[in-house]
Amino acid sequence: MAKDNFFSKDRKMYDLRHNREFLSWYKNKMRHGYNSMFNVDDLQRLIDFISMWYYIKYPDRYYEIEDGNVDLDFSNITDISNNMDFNEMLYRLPKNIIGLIMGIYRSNYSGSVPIYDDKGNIIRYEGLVGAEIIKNNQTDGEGLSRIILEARSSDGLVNPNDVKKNFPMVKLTNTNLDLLFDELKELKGFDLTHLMQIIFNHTTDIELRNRLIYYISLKILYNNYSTPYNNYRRSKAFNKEIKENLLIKLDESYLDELMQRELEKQSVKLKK
Amino acid sequence: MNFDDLSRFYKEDKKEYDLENNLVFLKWFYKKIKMGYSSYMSVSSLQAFIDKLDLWYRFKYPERKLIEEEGFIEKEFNDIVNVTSSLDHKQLRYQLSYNELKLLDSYYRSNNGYSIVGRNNVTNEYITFNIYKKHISKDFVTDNEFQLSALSTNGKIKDEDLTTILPKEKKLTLDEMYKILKDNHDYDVSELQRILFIHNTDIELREKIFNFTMKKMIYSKSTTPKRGYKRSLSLIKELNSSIKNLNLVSNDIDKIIEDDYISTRELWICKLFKNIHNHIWCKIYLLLIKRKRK
Repeated sequence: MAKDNFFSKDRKMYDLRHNREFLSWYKNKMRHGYNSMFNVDDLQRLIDFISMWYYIKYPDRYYEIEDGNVDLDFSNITDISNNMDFNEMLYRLPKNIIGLIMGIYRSNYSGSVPIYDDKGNIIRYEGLVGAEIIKNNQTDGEGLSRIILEARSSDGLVNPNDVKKNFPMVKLTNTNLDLLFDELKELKGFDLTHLMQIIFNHTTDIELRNRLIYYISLKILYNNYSTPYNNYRRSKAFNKEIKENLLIKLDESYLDELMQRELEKQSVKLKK
Repeated sequence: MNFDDLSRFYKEDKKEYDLENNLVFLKWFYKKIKMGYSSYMSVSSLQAFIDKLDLWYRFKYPERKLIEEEGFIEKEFNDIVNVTSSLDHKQLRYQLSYNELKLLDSYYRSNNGYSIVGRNNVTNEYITFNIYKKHISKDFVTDNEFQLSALSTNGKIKDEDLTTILPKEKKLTLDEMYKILKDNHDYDVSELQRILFIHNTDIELREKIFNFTMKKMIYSKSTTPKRGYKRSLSLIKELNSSIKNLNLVSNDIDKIIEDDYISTRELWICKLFKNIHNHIWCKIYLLLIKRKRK
């Protein structure tokens, strides 16, 4: 495969400090009120760490063995790629980065509650966020009241009983913060600034995460120290694991197209 | 260590591990190449090697594991499998490219060589080289050529080859042979000299790369200097025990931790001693701090 030709197409979008499009998007979001938890260096470190993680998880020798070219020095090596699962990767990342990857809702009101099994043992802790909603009750002669609505940080799910109690006019029984916001903004008498901030932060976090996934996949693809085909396989493996663990859809067509184009070029050269 | 102390600590970082901007290293590297050194790797590949080693040790000793050792346990990762023990030296080698392995081992090398499969299917790699002896006859001067072989791992010359030049000597290494013959003008030992030069530069380069990696670990902003220091000490211990003739020492990183890892308050007290009393008090104070830390 024409290695140089393949790598010369690399626009180095994963190099955030020099990715003007990303920098202007990021600054623009912050100008619009996005409270980012990270500076560009933090994000760059994340890209570098995860791309290197996949390089270690699937070293060239791993693919050599898969392709039937066994290096005798490593014929009896224990394959650790199974141990390097998604959870192991998260274990090695800072807490706020894990939050970004998992796409959690965040707020300045946050906490956690223990979740118990049948025997009363704590299995895990569930993260919670609080959304502050100011209710204007002037028509009832009661003035302003402040509601802190608790939601699950993983998916923003709100307790239906809380919704029923605080917003009897809302007919949704199973709702999360986004749906609740859509309902409440149509009604008068609510100050939703805080809730809006949470949702804006969340949607921007998700957008940022998806951009980072794309950049990581490109960084893996254009790793100069491996072959394009091994990089392509690594990048696909990364996307596959992301899809399985985060339950999100990813557009990988750019990867396949790049590889297809490269293979076509190669076959034309061979025919000549 | 508070925020001010940390920022002072990071200010001391000369970023030697950033090879493309490390002028001292680049000058040294290209000077060696000019002198005839052929490197296994380019500067960018060496940089990738440093990054890989750094990540390997971060992977092997995760931040959360080190935090747990400091007494803070996070319940979210209760069920994590501890893979640290399975990440041995062989696994590290498995991750490295052919050239990275060559530098890691830094065996003797020459343009020619052969290998012999010995007992227990162990392959012994030999390098071959020539030594020329001037032979002066009546009319002209000719060179007698002697081909010698040496084990690439430790540079031990084959005894049967050795007898052709130095019949009385046995079990000599390449370095020892060079020392004997270098001042003897009857012998042309330039090939041997080149092998030794390349080997010594390999060793020097390897040591530099390991030292840069350790500095990268210590000055990493993804962790604390203490945890970076712990990882560096593990690197020294593990590589010294796995690679023959590697004698990595922790002097450089000890100095970083001892000199730079002094809090502003400690520095202020030290300055006070220096002004009011004399310098010896400052030294005693720092010594006490270091002892307390140990």
